[in-house]
Amino acid sequence: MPNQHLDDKELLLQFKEPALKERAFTGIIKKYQEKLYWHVRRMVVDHDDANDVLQNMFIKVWNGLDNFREDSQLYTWLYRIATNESLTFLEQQKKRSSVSLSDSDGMLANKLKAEKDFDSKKIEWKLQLAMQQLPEKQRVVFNLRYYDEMPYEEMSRVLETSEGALKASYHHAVKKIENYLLNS
Amino acid sequence: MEKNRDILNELQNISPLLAGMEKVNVFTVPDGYFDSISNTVMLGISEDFSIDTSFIESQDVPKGYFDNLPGNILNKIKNHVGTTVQSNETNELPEILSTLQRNHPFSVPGNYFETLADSIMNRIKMKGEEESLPTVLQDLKSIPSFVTPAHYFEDLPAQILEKVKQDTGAKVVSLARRFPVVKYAAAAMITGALALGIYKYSNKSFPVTIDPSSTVQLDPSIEKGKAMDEQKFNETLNSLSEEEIVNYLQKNNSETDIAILSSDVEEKNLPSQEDYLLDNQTLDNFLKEIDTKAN
Repeated sequence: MPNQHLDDKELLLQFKEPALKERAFTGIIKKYQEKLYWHVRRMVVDHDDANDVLQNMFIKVWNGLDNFREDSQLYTWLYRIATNESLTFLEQQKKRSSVSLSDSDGMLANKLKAEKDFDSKKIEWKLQLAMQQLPEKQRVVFNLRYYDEMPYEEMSRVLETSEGALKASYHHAVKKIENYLLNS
Repeated sequence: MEKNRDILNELQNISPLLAGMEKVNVFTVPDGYFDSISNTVMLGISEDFSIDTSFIESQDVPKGYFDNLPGNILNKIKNHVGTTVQSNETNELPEILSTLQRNHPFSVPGNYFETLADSIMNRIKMKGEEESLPTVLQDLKSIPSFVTPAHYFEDLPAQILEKVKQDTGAKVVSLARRFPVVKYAAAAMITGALALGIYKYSNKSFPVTIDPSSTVQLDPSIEKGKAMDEQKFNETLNSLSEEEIVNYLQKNNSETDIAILSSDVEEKNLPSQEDYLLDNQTLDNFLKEIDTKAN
């Protein structure tokens, strides 16, 4: 039975043992799947897309985990891969789309509106629409800070950006969202 | 929690509106999604990387469940319909087919399947070695650098035999003294062959043709063996003793060559290995010197 309650160090040690490798990896998935899923889902909106990104991301983790340097935290590394995979997915989707650039910007908003429980009058859905107005990397910063409550120090390692730049980015994101909520 | 309070205070300072909003997750996931996602990922990995997934199955279903599933389903179908399925199918077959055992009539050489993997691996290794050659060398492999006169190898044994019968008392020249020269000469030949090969490779647009008038005229005795086929050649060659071949070669070597090799070329006169390795001209100069003496 995979044990997702083991700490990262133990899971990584087990992963290096051929007999325990798969079991340890299942433990890693179980431990981080929800956090990573929601991080990806907020970026790509659609569940099927999020599921694809999450599975591809874990397959990349499987391939790269042997070379993972333990001087950084496992979950920081996982967040980085999940973020990169989400941004790459969105980029590819834009390229595949034959619609104009302005329409592709509204692609995610349209996906939001297609969600089963979407209600434009509810503030929580307005917040989601407001987030879609943000540039993608600013949206990542907002998600990590607002929803995942990630300290800037860790976010700096995930996004390989200075803490000062992240603070500024978050500030701008919050102001834009506030402005959208007040004026929509 | 301290961390959460800090983040909330920060948000309060930037936007009291947002700070006052309840964090609601508007998205939903299919029922049981998080229970099955790890298995889904591991099954995906197992397909790509051929890993054992028995541990995955053991979490939710009995071990070997999926391996036996098709058979179990078939058995259930058969039990459910009694003998109907089997009898219907066999009734549709011609009588002779329904009575045959389902053995195929083909055969394979003995130990075929035991050695197949090794054979394939050897071919893969050989292919790998070929591919590891630089392209220029791979191409050179297929370009014949040297040609022989027509029927040369068919005629050679007869020619040798005739010469051997004519003379058996030639003097013996020590090959040991020739060795150093042979070593350098071999290096020069290899250099020349490579240069020729590269020249041919880089000048592919010019077809390589042999002018019949430029080929060496063979001794008339060679012409006698033209009708000899390869099998006869081999039989004749095998019948020669080593001594007979040595005697023949000694008798038919150029007297000039032997003189040069046995007297003029002394090991002490050879260029040192250091000179040879450091300066390509050393070997050329040395060979020119021998040539001058010979003439």
